Amino acid sequence: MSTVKKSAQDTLHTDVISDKVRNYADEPYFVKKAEKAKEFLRQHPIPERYLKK
Amino acid sequence: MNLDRYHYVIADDYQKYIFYSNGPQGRIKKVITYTKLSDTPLTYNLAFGDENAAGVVDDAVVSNNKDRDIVLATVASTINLFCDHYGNNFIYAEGRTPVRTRLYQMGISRLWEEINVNFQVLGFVNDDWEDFRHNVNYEAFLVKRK
Repeated sequence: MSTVKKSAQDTLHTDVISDKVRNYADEPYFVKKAEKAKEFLRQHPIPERYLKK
Repeated sequence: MNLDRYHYVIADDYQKYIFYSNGPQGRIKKVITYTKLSDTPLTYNLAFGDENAAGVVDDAVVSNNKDRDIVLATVASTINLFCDHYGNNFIYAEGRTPVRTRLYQMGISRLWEEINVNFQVLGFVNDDWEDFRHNVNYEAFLVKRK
């Protein structure tokens, strides 16, 4: 059983780095969130006054 | 930050984090992802949702697991870890709905003393970005580690 599968069964008692984490790049929820965020920042870019800090 | 938080599984690219909310509604799998939005300025999107047994992620359900500050502290903790690997760049976050974004705003307010030590937080309101203020209903947030 991989680390991730074990973690899915048991309460996590520590942080674990894993190469078995699912790739969520194509998950529709995350794709939509990123597209919406891009559009929002295109319309409302970060002001220069905050970029100079 | 020294707030109580859940432990998580960290993807080896440090862009995905999984943890489990435990409370009256049971054990709920939570997924956090960071996605690059732009190179100039370098900005990432923080997205956060519940993954159901079928593997579908959404944040449509208010889980009401009585652990909202622990969940928020967990999310904030991943920002620190993400910044350790990708630098102190802007991170964008908003809720799926205005109500959800308002919940984030209230959470930030509750934990402000801890958050303000390490993070600059901007909110978008009245068609402009501004430094985070309490009791303002923002449409979106930008976070940058100091």
